[in-house]
Formats: sequence, structure tokens, C-alpha cells
Amino acid sequence: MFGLPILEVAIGLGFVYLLLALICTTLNETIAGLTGRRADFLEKGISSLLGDDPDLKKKLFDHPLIGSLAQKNGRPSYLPASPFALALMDIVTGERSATNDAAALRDGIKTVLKPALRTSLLAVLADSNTKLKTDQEKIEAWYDEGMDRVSGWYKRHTHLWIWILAAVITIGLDADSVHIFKTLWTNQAIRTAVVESAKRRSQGERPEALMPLVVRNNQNGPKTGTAVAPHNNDVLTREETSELSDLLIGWKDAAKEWKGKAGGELFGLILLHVLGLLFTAAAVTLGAPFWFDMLNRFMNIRSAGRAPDEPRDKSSPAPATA
Amino acid sequence: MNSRRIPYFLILPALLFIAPIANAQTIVLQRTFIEQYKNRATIDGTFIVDKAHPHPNSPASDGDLHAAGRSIDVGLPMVAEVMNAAGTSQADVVRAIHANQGKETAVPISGAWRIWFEHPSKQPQIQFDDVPPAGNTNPDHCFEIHPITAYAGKPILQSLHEINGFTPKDAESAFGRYEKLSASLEIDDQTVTITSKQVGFNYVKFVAQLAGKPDSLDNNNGGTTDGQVVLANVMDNAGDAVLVNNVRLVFIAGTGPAQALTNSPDGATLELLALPRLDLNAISTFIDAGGSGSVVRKLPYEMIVVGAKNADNTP
Repeated sequence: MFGLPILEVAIGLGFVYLLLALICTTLNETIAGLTGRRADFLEKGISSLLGDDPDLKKKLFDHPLIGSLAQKNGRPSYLPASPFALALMDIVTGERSATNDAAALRDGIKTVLKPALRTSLLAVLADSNTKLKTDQEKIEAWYDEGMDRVSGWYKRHTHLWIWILAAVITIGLDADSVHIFKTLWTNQAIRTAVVESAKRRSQGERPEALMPLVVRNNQNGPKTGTAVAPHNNDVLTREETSELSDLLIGWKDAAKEWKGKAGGELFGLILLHVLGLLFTAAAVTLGAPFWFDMLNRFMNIRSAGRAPDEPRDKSSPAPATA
Repeated sequence: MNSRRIPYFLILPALLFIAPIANAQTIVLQRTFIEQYKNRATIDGTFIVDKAHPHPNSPASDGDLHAAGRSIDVGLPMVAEVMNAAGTSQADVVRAIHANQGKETAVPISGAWRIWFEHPSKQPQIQFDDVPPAGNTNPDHCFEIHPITAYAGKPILQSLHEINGFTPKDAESAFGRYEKLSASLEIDDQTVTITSKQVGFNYVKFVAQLAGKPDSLDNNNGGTTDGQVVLANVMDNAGDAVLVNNVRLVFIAGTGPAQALTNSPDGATLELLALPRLDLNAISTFIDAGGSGSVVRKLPYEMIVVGAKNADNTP
């Protein structure tokens, strides 16, 4: 038989990390949306690809093929290879020649572009890869390679943001793993309530899918629906917020705990607190989907090893009988 | 030894080192395409067959015939599939597909449009970007015409029926999976970029109780009707409890399942065979309500019904 209290403590910890990771993800997405982070990276990547030539970059972004992809703030956050290649070829060949005029394209590269980009593009067009038949395909392949690098930058940057936000949330809420562990271990009432909430959460959709896009509430109107919070994402339920506040000590209470202590004892308490915060921040960076899956695993273990007097979880099928 | 200590030492380190791994697929759809197909069961266009299976899959594997190719009306890597392809009524279409294979001939095709994240690609697939010829019968794709209802002027609407010898997924496994799927949507003025994890669970057999009256899929009041849509409650495997409420079921005009729907009274219970697909109507409704930017939500899906009978065994 499994030791249920310790398993429930693990469920409680996983649940707290899941909620904190949800807050972290939502904040990150909100900031990315408000700051146009994707558009910034795309612009940076294209600028690098164009040899940091501001005039050429401006011409490219002003080109109707690219302008039509721009969002309301005037910059696209995603640019397919085809319009990029066509717009660049159009700029380089000039108004008098067709975009796919190979000779005009090479002449234009030699006269219009700066030396570094000129060398790169001429090498790209001289590529003997037989899969790439046209100049446009070669420029598109070059662009795609460049965008792979941008994608790598973006991922690294986002990871850094997640770390920063995880640290801010953890410190701001004083989410000390050691304290949460102690509370869950010693307070059965809180532990039971948290496990119940964790169970509800684990039976629902994965965390990144808390809400549907649309609710079909007119049964005789299958082509209609009500959009769910198109401008707002509620991250946590009221109960979850309340349980989270029960488990987090808060800086005021932490300070009270340290009051009157001195020397080695105070140092030990602060060190443990810092370690607890560090552990929480690291756990939050693993992301909500990770903790959701982990919670489900814990729930399955708990369901398999439940106490004899505990009612069976309806979501888990009864064992086959001989 | 006190066994209560074991989980503590095993579980907590495991929290940090076991991570879920899954493939994701990104597709960039034009919003004009979403608007065009949000109220349609099928797509009509032309299709160039690059590679086709020489023979239909065995009934145990699903009985389909796969053809990979391109369509200027779709603008994405895609496959088209004939259901119950070994049936004699489908022989002319199968022959025509084989005859056109590799000939770069754009041939008229109709069938249910289907976007589903089953065969992920490492690269985003951008609608109406260049689509290279398919190198095999199952290239990375998330767009299908499945099932085909007509090819080269030859209708095969009667191919939509149960697949003898094939065991479809059951309701609890399939809908349990669909209901946990999430999608990230990035909406801008021209396109919607959708990323979701790989998922199969193609053919699913389930019992559904009609929750409301069917409505016609009228091509956005374009004067043509190619099917019906109805909301239904999907029942569990035992058929006695509701598993999922108000699932959109799509019936293709002129097929056996559409006839079964027409014959069903309000609230009827039907036994269905169906394929899941992305619900473009939900995406359009969300955008119309002001949804924009990046959101992460449940993957909106609906079911294309390809086999149906009254659960009380009346035809």
C-alpha cells in the first residue's frame, strides 16, 4: 500500500507548481503580445539576413506583398518565404524588369545591394542543388534557413523570459517550496482541499486548453456559438486562488517567523527560505503542461493505491473481476 | 523498512526529470479560406495526383486508398482518400486516380475537407505557399480530402458506410483524447496560425443523441447546400451516459448517413462512424467576436459522419 499522505503532499506541490506555471505562461504571452516580441524577432532576423541594410529593410517592409501581411501595429509577426523572395526580387530587379528576369536579378544584386549581401545572394543563386530549380526557390530556401536561426533566438529569448517571470512570481508571492511542503504535511484540512482541487484540475483539459473558443449554446443553431472570453483569459478559478493563498506564507508572515531569531538560527531559516524559493522558480519554468501531466500520473498512482475506506474515483474504471 | 518513505524519494526527483514529449504541427490558414469553408461540409476543386497507393488498405487497416498530391484550391501539402476503396462502385475512381498518378493533370475532385494534426511536419505549412510534389503516398500533411465523394466526374457518395472488417476507435478513447487537445492560435488580419500536437484517432464509432434540429450547410448563404450540421450529445461506450455535450456532426448531402439523419426524429439516437476535423466555424465565430492576437484554447473540432444507423436498429 502506498503512503497516501506523502503522495498527497506531492500532488499538492505539483498542483501549486501547475497554478504558478499557468500564471507565468499567461503573463509571458500577454507581454509577448503587448510588446510585439514575435514581430521584433522577425524584423531582427530579416535585418540580419539583409546585411543590416536599413534602406533595403525599409523597402522590403514597405513592399505591398509584405505590407499586406502586417498586423494592426504595422509589422508582420510571421512572413512566409514566398512573399519575402518575390518582394526582394522585385526590389532588386527594379520597375523596368520582370521579377523573374534572371539577368536583371543578377545585375540588380551587383548594383543595388551592399557587398556582404551581394556576395551571399550571388552564392545562393549559384547553388547547384538540383531540388531548387528557380531563383525564387533558392532565395526562399536561404530565407527559411535564416528563419530557423530566428526561431532558435526566439525560443532562447522566451526561455529567458520564463525564468525571469518565474523568479518574479515566486518572489512576489513568496512561494517557498519548503513552507508549502510543511503546510501540506502538517495540515490535513488544507491537504485534503488541495488534493480535491488538484483532482478537478487533472480531470479537466490540459492547462493550455482551459477554455474552448466557442460554446454551442443554441441547440437548434449548430452554425452559431458564443465566443468564450475573446479578450480575456481567466487563469485560475476562485477556489484555486483561495487554496494558493492558504499555502503561500507571504513575506509579512515570513518576517514574523524570523523576528527574534539571531545568528546561526536566523541564517539557517533564511537559507532554507531562499532554497525553497529557488526550487519553486525552477519547478515553474518546467511549464504548466509538464505539471499537468505529472499531476495526472500522481492521481493515477493515488487511485491505484487508495485507502480501503476511500470511495473509488469515478474516472478510474473498476478492476476486472475473475 | 517503512514503505511510506518510498514514494517521497522516488516521486519528487521524478517530478523534475520526466517531461512529456510530443510532436507539434503548425499550419497557417488564410482567413478567406476559413470564411469560405466554415459552413461547408465539402470542398470542390482540382487535384494533381503525385503518388497513390497501388492497392486499397486492407479492411483491417481501414480500407482507404491514399493519394498524395496538390490542389490550387487548398494550397497545402495534402492527401485525398477513397473510403471503402475495394468496393466495386469505387473501382472507376480508383482506376482514374492510378491513371492520373504522376501526370501533373489537375482533375476535378470533391469530398469532405479535413484539417487534422495527424502527420506533423517539422516546418510550418503555409497555405498558398509553394507546395512541392509529394515524394510518397503519405507526406507530412494536415489537410485531407477525406472521404472523396467524386473524382474525375465520377461520384462515389455511396462509399460512405461502415467498413467491414475494421475496428474503429471507441467513443471513450477517441473523445477522451479530442477533449484534451489544445491549440495555440495566432490571429492576424490575413491569417490564422494554428499549432497543435500530433493526434490520430481517425475513425471512431459512437452513439450520439441528437440535441437539436439539423441546419443546412449552405456555403454561407451562397445558394448551394452540400450537407447538414447538427449538435449531438456523444454517449459513453455503454451508451447510457453523456460523454461530451453539443458536438457538431457534419453530414454530406447525398450520402447514406445524411439520409439516416433525414429519417431521424428529434432527439433520435444514432450509431455513427465518423472522422474528426478542425471546426473552422468556431474559429470564425471567435474572430468575429473580437478574438485576436495569441490565444491557447481547446482544439475546436467537429465530426464528419461517414456511417450511420439508427441505434434502435431501424434503417
